[in-house]
Amino acid sequence: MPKTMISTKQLSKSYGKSGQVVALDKLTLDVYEGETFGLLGPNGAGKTTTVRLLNCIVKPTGGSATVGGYDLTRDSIEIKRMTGLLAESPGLYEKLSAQEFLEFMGALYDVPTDTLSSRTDKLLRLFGLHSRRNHLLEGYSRGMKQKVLIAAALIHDPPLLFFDEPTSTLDPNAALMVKDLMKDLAENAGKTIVVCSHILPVVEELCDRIGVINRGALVAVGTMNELLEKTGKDTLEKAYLDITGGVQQKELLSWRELRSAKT
Amino acid sequence: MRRRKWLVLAKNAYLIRTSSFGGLRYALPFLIGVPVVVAMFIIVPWIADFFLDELELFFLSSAAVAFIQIILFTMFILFLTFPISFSLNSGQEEHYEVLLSAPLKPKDVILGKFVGDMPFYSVGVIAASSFLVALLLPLGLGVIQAIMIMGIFLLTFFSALWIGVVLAAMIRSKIGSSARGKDVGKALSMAVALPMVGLMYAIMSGMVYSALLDSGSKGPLAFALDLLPSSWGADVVVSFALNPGGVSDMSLEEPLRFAAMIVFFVGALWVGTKLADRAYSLESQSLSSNLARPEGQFYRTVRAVSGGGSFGSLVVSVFKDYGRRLENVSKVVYIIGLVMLVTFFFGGAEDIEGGLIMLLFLLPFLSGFIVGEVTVRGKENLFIYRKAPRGEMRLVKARIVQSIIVMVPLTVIASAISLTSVSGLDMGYALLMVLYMVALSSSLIIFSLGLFLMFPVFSEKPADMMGNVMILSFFMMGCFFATLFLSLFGEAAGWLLILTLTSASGIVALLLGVRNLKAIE
Repeated sequence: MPKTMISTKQLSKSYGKSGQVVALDKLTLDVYEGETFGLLGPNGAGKTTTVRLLNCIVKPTGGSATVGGYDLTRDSIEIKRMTGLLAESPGLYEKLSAQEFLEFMGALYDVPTDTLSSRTDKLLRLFGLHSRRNHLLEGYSRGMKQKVLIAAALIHDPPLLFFDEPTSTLDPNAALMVKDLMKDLAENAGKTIVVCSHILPVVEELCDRIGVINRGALVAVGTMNELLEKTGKDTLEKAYLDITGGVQQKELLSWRELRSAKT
Repeated sequence: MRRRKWLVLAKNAYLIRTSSFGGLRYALPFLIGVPVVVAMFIIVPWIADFFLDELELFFLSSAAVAFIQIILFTMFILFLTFPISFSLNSGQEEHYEVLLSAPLKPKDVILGKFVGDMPFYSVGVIAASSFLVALLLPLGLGVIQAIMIMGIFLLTFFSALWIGVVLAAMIRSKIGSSARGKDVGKALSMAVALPMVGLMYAIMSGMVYSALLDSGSKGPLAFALDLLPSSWGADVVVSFALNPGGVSDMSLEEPLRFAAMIVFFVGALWVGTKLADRAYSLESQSLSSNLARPEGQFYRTVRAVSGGGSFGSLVVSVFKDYGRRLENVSKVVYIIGLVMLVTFFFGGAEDIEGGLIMLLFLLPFLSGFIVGEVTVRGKENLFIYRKAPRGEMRLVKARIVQSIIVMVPLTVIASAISLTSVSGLDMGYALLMVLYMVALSSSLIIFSLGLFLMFPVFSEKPADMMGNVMILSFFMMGCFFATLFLSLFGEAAGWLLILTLTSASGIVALLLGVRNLKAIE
């Protein structure tokens, strides 16, 4: 039986004075060591809130959770130390160069100076940014910034990694590289990975198990085969649409005035 | 039927400008117009009636032309610089991308912006001109003369605003849409304000007034002002005040000067629309990105002063991000510039306390400008620290160290400038007071940081930042008046009281701010 890396029990988060906006509703979930877990859900479903809760960025309003055996509310410092996060809309110091930003992140996580220097160098080479390492981040494209942020999430080599939309802004080559990197991290470095993505083939290929969140609640969890079996569909896309309510059939061209088909 | 594009854009600009008034925005001109009309035709003439003799005497004197000239010139410069400063600071190129992708011409964009801004500013201009007209009505001013005076004010305003809008668009186009360009724009928006403040101080100190009154030998200032349409209007206004009445009472010179103002405005409008194609370009002037310079002696010293190790690296990173933003540098230069202007125009204190008094009120601004950007990059930036172990406390400590390193030399420079105006300086005492100012400014840094963490500002809008700066400013005024009330100002006990109050309040604010920082979600 693998060790449980993340365990949540009725974990909830709501906003507003009387908690009227429920971002996450009683999430009960286990993620195991060495597993790659995919978190799917429509926009605003609660994926980012889940990731922020598990990284101790926001505080839960109900329930409990442990990450790496540490309690979410009591041991936030230990949890932060053992997790790496690529956020969906991350902050970035645009006036620092890629190298300076990685050194800054390494300092935040107390990476020893000698290790930090060589690790920064290797990560920049891995992501093809070494030749531009001294350019300020303000001049980087979105994809290049994303690479720097992935490198920053890895800089302290944590055992648990959260990737929120890791490949959405990357070109196909870089996306493939990141996908292979995540696979390698899971298979050869024993990392536990939680991936939130709308790119279903990425989730399909990488994840051992998948959880689907809709309107703050976990509505399905299992391996891909289990989800397909449960919904009776033949692809993850169809299963996902089935679980989350699918697309309402509307007259997609009803907004146009009635004219001939080609005008 | 195709709609006039500039009109569509003008409506959009007006709605954006007046968005804070909600549903009242369409009725806004009327809501403001009615009290203005009441004031113009009833209240002001009634008051002016009591001072009829003095008014006649004033308009007969040579001071009247200089006075009106200054009013119109200030208005001209104000409305010329305001759109430039506002536009450079906003840096929202995304809007222009939407506009430029639509089927419209650049002149539609520029004209739309001008017409859209017009009602917003016109209210103030009409109010100012009506006040003057109302003052002149008891002298027997005719209807045509009254309309022409209001026209002079409006023409001065329209010309200035139009030139400002065109210049702003061209400068933005020149500095490009790159991240570097936005930074330069924000820095320039502060720089543009400084000469305006200098002009205000020159007017307040009476220097401009004296120079214009010296009409016997027409100096360079009077000559320069004569070239601007604002001065042509001033002559007409004073002439009407001296010869009030109907059309038959006017000389040929007055309608000619008025016509010259119209020609100036129409000419500026024509030239501006021709230049419009060169403005609103999203072409970046340079594709090269900026390189980070290798760490020099300065950062090595900062690292060492901060204790080295991880924390030293954090302070250096925070410092680099702060120092590489031209906008931050320009804010600091702006405050030092203000100190220089105040010293130049209002200096000449007899003692050290008098020399440093203005600095007491400028230091809160300086500390607010240095510390205020702690949260402006948004919550996501704060979450970098939140995610790291004990990250929030490291952020606070790094910010304090970085801000004090910036603040201390600036305080010394500002104090030295302020003390240059003091006659018979006791160097020993002056040095002691400079050290005191350094201690006070360090306390203000802690106070500012506490305030900006208690009431975080998540946008780069200067107006949002001013709230906390005003709290600091009022606090300092309170301290000052407390020492006056206790007859301690200038005494050692008074200075100590100010420092103690600032330090104690700073520590409380910082504790509350850190608590709030941990709760931000």
